[in-house]
Amino acid sequence: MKEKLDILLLDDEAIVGNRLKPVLEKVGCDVELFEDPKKALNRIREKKFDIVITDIMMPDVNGIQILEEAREKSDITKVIIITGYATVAMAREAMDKGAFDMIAKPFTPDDLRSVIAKAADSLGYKKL
Amino acid sequence: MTNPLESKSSFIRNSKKPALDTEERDLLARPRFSLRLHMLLVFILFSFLSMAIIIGSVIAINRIQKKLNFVQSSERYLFDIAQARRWEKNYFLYDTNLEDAVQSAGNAKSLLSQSLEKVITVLSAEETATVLKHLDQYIGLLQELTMLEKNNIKNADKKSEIETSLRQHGAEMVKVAAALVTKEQNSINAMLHLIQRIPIYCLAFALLLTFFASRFLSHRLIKPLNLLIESTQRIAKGDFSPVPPLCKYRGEFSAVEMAINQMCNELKSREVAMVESHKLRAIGTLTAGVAHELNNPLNNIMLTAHAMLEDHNDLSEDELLEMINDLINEADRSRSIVRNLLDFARESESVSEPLDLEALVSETIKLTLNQAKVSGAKIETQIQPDLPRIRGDKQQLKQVFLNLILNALDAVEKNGIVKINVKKADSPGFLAVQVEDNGCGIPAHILPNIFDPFFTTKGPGKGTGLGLSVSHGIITMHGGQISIETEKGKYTKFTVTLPFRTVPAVFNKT
Amino acid sequence: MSIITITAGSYSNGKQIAKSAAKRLKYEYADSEIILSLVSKEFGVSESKLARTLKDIPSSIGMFSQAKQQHIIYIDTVFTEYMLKNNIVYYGAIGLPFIQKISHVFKVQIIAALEDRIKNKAKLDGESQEKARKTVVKEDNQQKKWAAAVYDIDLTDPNLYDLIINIGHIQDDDVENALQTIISTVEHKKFQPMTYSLRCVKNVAMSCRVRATLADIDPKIQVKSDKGTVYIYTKAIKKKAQDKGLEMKQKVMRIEGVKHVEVYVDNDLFSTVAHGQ
Repeated sequence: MKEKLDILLLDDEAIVGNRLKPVLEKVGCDVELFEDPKKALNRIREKKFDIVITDIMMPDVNGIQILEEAREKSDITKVIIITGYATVAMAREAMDKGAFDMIAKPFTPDDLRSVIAKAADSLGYKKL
Repeated sequence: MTNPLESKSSFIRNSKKPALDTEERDLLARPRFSLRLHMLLVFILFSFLSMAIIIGSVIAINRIQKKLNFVQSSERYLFDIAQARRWEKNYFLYDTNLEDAVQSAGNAKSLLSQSLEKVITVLSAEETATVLKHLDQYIGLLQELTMLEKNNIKNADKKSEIETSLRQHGAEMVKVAAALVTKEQNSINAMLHLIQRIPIYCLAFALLLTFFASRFLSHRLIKPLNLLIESTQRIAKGDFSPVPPLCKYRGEFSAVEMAINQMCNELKSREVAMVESHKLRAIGTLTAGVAHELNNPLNNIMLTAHAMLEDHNDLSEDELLEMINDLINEADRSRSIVRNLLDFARESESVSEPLDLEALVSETIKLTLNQAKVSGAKIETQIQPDLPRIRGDKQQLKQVFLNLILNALDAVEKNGIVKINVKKADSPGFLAVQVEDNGCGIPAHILPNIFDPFFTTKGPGKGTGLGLSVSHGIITMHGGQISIETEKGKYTKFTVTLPFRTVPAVFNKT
Repeated sequence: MSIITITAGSYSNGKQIAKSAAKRLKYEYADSEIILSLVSKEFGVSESKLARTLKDIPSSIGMFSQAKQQHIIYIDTVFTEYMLKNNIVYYGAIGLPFIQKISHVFKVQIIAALEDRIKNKAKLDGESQEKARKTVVKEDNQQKKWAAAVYDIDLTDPNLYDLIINIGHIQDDDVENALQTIISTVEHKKFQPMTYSLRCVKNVAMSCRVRATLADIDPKIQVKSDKGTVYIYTKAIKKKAQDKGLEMKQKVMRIEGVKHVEVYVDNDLFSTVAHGQ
């Protein structure tokens, strides 16, 4: 088993990635940052990530597509949705398509950390 | 404590109330001449006319009767004179009947003196005097003869002298009396002639009067009615400006006019309320989108602030500065997201101003971008450059375009396209804004109803059914038109045409 | 890991289904009786009074007496806080509007033909058909009108539910089928709770808790909350607006988990006019 969690973080808002990367690295994760969903999609097709964190409303590629691709690549990948457009319908669609969790924006780093911890837990990483 | 709810509760007042008062005042200044009075006058005129005819005829007949009586007495006078002459002749031939002659002459005299006044009017006073003189002399001569007879004086010379003057006077009298009768008869004939003519004249006059009265009446009835029909058609199309004065006078029609103007004002204020309520609805829709859109900068602020809070000891100055800049920029972004909506939501008096349609449509599209994001649709804009300005109410026109774009976004599925095209319209003097979606189209059977108020195909609580009705009202008020072209399952295209004012190019640039 | 709410017309065996579902899923069962007893315990209102509040039909919530309005707020509060737990099968229509926006609540409505329900009632209670008919129709009306007046919802609106099961003739196999449908559906991933939906429940529960705390001041307030930030919308006579806002703020700040309070006081035109101020 690897030491560190591989995380792909995708949000078209640059600030989200810039702030969350140190937050996640602090708890011992390897974070790959993406702002362009198309590039992220290519990367997901290449590599199996432990955790994919993605926004939903993005130009050209929808977060749900990212979710589907990530789950297709590897069904152990935990996909965490972060969105500013949270609705019941979206939440259910995301869960239905195999999302691990969904967080509504705005959230705090602690909110994300606790979700990551949960995901790590279910992935078998006890120490985080 | 701030109170954002307070501003919502105030309502646009109907500023048209004083205008009604001035209209009323105008109306009161008009002379009062009701239709009833008008009819009454015509009726009275006709009554007078017929009464005049009747009275005239009665008088004329009366006069004829009198004249006939006079002619009769004249004839009796003539007869008496003739009788006296016959007796006189007998006397000279056979020496008899002298007394009878005197009596007949006396009768004639009494007849004459009875109707002396009348005679004077027929003959001249001079002539009458001669008649009387002749008669008196005739009677005098007869009496002289009687005296001679009584005293048995046989004076042949005297007698023949008297005879000559008697004849002379007698002939004179007969001549005058005959003239009198003829004259009177002529006058009767003339009168009868007149009486025959009068009804014909009257008939002609009555016909003329009827013609003018009916023309005048129809003018007063038909013209306002036509005006009314025109006005109601105009009102039905959504133009609620007051009707022009229906007639010059205050009367029944001015009451109708006032009632219609009141109705117009009422309708106008209803429309204002309807536009307002629809606007609130649109703001509601937009607010949902904006609230979501705000989440992004808020999230950025939240994450940045937390990062600063957690790591402020380890952060370099540059990093801190970058974060602070991020905070400022994101706050700014939040403000601009809200400001656009606030601009639209802000209540404003209805003002007509020169507008750049390009800017107006662009601003409206900006408002709907969040909605487009949510529904996953693309908005494609094509705006012809250097379009002339139009004149109108910015907020209201924005509301129309917003409504059309939101409808289009509602109609398209994910990855749908909403095309917005601003260009010169086919008809000269007009600009056109087209909003086209490649959505489900509008079924033909509901097409005639789509501009009706409260007609909606959306579920309960989703649409008010006011959007298109309000848009139609606004565009009509701006002197434009809104039309629709649709094919089921393929596309729907709304075209709004608005008149532009032709402004010299010099002013256009400034 | 989910919540199932079941609403049903009277005598369509909804309660039985809810209880069986709870048993099979090893979920906790709850219904209005349990909620009422909790309300009674926490707020010290007798259960019979609460039951009467659920029976009376005002023309709108505003027509209820202040006490009854408070009762409803207490019931809402206990219900929404109950929903913070997971693995619950809840039977009843109380609190239905509060769980509409929560994705991990699986909302089921069970419907059955009126005639079958009347037969069911007659059989269960050993009554004549006519008597049973009267009761069933009356209870249907009562429930519908109450929900319309108090929650402003139409219980027969299908938009309120995720699943509507027509239970047919209410025979044993119909009940079993319904049960199977519910259990297999709730296992669907989309009814799983997540950070977002749990936060939604917490927000709703917090809003209700705030309303309950302020119920003695003003039962008509509207409350929204998010992550400990509470927004209160109320009306007051202009002069008293500031005092009222302050009083509310102080009271709410004492609630556990509240971090920030905003009070928006709108001018109460009606009271202003009524009091001639």
